[in-house]
Amino acid sequence: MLSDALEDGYLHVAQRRSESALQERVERLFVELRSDVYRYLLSLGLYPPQAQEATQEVFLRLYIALREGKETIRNPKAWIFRVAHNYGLKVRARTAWEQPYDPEVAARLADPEITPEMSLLERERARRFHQAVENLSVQQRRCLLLRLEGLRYPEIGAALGISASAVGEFLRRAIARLRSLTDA
Amino acid sequence: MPDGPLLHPDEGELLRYADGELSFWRRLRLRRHLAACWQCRAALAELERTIGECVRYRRQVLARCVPEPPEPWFDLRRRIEQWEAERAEVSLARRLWVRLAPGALTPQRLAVAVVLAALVWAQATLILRNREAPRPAPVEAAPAPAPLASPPPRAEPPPASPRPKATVAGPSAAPVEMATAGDELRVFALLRRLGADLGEPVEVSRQGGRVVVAGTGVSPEVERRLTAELGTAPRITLRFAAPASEVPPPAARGVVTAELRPETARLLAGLEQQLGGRANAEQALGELLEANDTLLAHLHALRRLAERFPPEVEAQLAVSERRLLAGLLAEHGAGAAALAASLEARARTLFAPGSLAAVESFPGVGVSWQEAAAELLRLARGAESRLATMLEGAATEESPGAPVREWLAELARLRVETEAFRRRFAE
Repeated sequence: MLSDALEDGYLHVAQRRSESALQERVERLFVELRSDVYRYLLSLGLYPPQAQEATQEVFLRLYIALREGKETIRNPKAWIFRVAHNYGLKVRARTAWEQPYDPEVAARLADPEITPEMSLLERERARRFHQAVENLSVQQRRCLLLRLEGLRYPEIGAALGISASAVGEFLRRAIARLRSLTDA
Repeated sequence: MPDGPLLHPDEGELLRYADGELSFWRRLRLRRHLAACWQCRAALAELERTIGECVRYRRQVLARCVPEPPEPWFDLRRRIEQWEAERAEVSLARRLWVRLAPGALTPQRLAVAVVLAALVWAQATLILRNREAPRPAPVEAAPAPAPLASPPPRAEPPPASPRPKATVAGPSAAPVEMATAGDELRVFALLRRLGADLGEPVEVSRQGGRVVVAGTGVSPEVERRLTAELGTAPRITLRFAAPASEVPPPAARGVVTAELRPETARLLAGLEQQLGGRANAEQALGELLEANDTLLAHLHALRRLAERFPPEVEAQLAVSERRLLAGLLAEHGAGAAALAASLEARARTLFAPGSLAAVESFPGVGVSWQEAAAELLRLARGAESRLATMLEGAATEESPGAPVREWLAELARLRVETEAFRRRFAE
């Protein structure tokens, strides 16, 4: 009886430690990646409050998924962007009557207070590059943005619901279009 | 050479290489190709430059020119603890249900259950009221795909790489005499003498009564010597395209990080253990590929001779020209036989130490040297694809060594056939 109680106690302590370690891990990921996820959600057309709430939701879901252990998460970053992408699209679908959010990057780029260290020439170059990215097809742009976040082709494919080879093709086309700009 | 080891990768493959998305086998092949090909190294450098622009765009524009989140970020730890508390409540309710459910529900048990349910409901309501945001929905097991109307076409032609203007040397006057097969043969003999028929991208053909020797990215030394030897020769036209002006250094080893398939990883682990480290294993594989490529180059050269000098053309050659052709066959035949034997021995040392080479004899090569040359190239390509299969990790769990055994068997056959060719046609 006593040994059972002791065993229960040890298990409880071990479980608490494991929970605490998991919480710390997810918290670290949250601090490290939340801005990237937030920006990606803005690129899907979510308004800043929606994007911020969705970002927080995604990390809470990550904790729940890891805690319940119902699915194997080999690469948490890829998982986070996949869930963010799907969740972001659902949020957009719920508010489809609204225009997608436009962060007006070009206008901000031109503002010397936001980018004080950039020369006029650099600003113009960045503006043209941004315009070229905006002119990519939706899938090309999403593949490019997710690749910029460090996701591999199969992970991007899993997030967007396409094959890894299709990701490669979208990226090839995107890079080819952007290259014509850098060559100019 | 149209279909040998010199095939240039397309832009998509270069991008996958830069992104570490190529298989181990393709990565090794491409790395070797890049070490030799200025054109492709320049193309890779252009890709890397654009990738660099993208990274700069992320850092300078995306990270700074989008609005900040409107509120401070929430306290994730607190949210997690709330969820844990809620989960504990749900878990308690479930345990109670398990206790109550098995037997018949007596009035007393029912009363206890109702009271407990009311308590749980009240507690849950309290927690829900305290929460600032709604409880997260269960995690999606699978993402909602954004389906494509149709997969992107893969057959899109690769963008035309900037081709430098061709320089043409040779007499500008109209030819007074038509070039013969003998003239063409002498060009092949010269290429052999310069070592430019094994790997250099030089094409020889007869067009409009002239022998045209053309190449893009030919090494400067070979171009210089070909021009010196053939520049003023009658009935010969030289066409060389200059290589790209900006040549980046070869891609550094270890740039790519494609994950290995388990079977390939096992194979490499065995090699690493045997040779004392990953670098040694990769070097040994590189040497194996080098031998394989040189063997293929000899066999390509043989096949090219077979295509340019079929029996009916061969029959029209003068005696001295036939002797010249026989000399070329002898050189390539001997080279191929020696390389096939060395490749098999090296492969056995690496992948099946202690095993004995197959000694059985195979049926003789084809009736003519032209057919035999084509058959040898087919065999060598088969062995190469077997090696690719092996390094791609296509072995099954049931017989993990099968591709290795099959590859060694193909190498043994190649050794026997090339030796037979050498004895029959190249001595």
